[in-house]
Amino acid sequence: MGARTWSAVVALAWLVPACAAAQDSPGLSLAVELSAEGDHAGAALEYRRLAGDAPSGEARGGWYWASAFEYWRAGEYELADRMLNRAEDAQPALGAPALLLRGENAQSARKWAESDFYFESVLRGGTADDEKAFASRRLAAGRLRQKDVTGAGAALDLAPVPQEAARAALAEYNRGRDKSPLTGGLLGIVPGFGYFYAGEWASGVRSILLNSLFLFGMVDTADHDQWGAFAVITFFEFTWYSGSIYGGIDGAHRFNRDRLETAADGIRGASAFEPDPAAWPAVRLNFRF
Amino acid sequence: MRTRRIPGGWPGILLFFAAARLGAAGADLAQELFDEGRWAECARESRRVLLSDPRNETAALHLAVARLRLGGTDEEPLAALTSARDPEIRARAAYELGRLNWAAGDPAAAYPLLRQAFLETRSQPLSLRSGCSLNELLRAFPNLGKDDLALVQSLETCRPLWSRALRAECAAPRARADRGGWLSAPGKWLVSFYRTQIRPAIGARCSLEPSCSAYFLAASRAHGLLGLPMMADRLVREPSVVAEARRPVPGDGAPRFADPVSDHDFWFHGGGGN
Repeated sequence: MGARTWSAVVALAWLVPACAAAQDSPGLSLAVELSAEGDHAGAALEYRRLAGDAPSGEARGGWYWASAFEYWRAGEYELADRMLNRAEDAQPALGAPALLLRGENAQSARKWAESDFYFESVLRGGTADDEKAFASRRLAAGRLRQKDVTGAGAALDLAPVPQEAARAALAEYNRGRDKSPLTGGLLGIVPGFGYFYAGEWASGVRSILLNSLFLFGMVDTADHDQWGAFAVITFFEFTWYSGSIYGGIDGAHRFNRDRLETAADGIRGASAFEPDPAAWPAVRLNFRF
Repeated sequence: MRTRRIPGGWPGILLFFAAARLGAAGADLAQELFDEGRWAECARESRRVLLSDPRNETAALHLAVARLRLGGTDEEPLAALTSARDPEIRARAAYELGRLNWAAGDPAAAYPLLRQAFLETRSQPLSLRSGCSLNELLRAFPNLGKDDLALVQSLETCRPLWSRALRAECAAPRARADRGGWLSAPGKWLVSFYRTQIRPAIGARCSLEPSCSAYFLAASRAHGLLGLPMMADRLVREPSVVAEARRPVPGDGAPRFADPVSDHDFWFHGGGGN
């Protein structure tokens, strides 16, 4: 065998495993296992390692996308964004999978305007029906979080198939009304009434009982000239009373937030996407509605 | 027929590059994790690099710093790196060791190390950090630099480059740990009294996560006296949150439910409803 043949053999021995390693390397198996065990940050790191060792830009882009997906699941939104930048740098044609994950990531990080942009981009592009249906639901949920009910309805109009469940959730939200934190706070001046206003009846009753008890304690200790005990009980009564006012305001805010989240969850429904592990490092998404 | 000798160099060279490529990928990942401040993962990656290349000074530095950030106290590896071959590694090790000595209450040992880092480094971020740290150290202990006028003059030249954030980062290690201000003091006293005098007698009774005392501490740390009504509201709501059982926290023992401070101050800065 000549020197060139030897060089070719050694080069192949180096390159071929590097390419084939992608499909059945211990690194990939470990990443999949870690993800299944719920250690998404650990899985993301393994995918980053695979990206670092990837022989081609296409494979590197796929692994970085996988890493971003796992970081998103781990709640590491900034890192997910960074990995997506790398994925798109390595594989500029990544397209809808990158936009969808960017949109999901931005929504999880509560960057509503940013997520709108990505989902609108998916809806504008010539993408598959599943992708459009998913993007329209997410866009509607994002717009609702910005209190844009009309915009949310318009986003659902862009879906290729009617989204009845999402429309029903939006209509339900439209029928209800927000509570006013100012009214909640003012009602909270009468212990417990702020909680009643927010619909938290049991908390309201507890607040009335505690305030009554401590007010009675204040009056009783003052009647018996027990000023030390009076000071201690007054401190605690001040705490319960200010808590009642704070609870009235916070209760109204919580009520509004829960109402909004319930509607947004209804719009999103069970829609989600998962990458197809059989296609790694190519990114192919499976949708669920 | 002429036979040709197989040049052993070719396969060797290719294998060398293959090994170097794999090693470099690991080192790059360790560097990225170091820059991201993901210390546990950085320590693991650096160990992986060191297994294949035990003389890799960068990996040794990353490992030593990561271990310190994770709460380790072993100064030995850093001390060894202050005489590394690479001047940047030496400077970074000296900086970390200097900060560590300062935090341990030994400013006299910290001074020459921070000085070494400031004078040796060619990296701008490290130059800024070491210069600013040195300046803060000299402000607290003016006697340390009284014979080094050239250094004091260099620090004066760099002063306009230090941002407010950098000054806060480089402030005296102890001062940095003391956060919350005087408004959080009543909360700390109450929680301390409860934890040392009451809880041992009645046991941990809170079914929420964080516990009521930890919630109070976090609320008063973040919002001062407003922590009191927040705490009262928490105590009034606790049975309802448990009954709703909406957000269970995984763990052993009695079931616990999440109710963090962030769920009750999200509207303080105009985030109402979201």
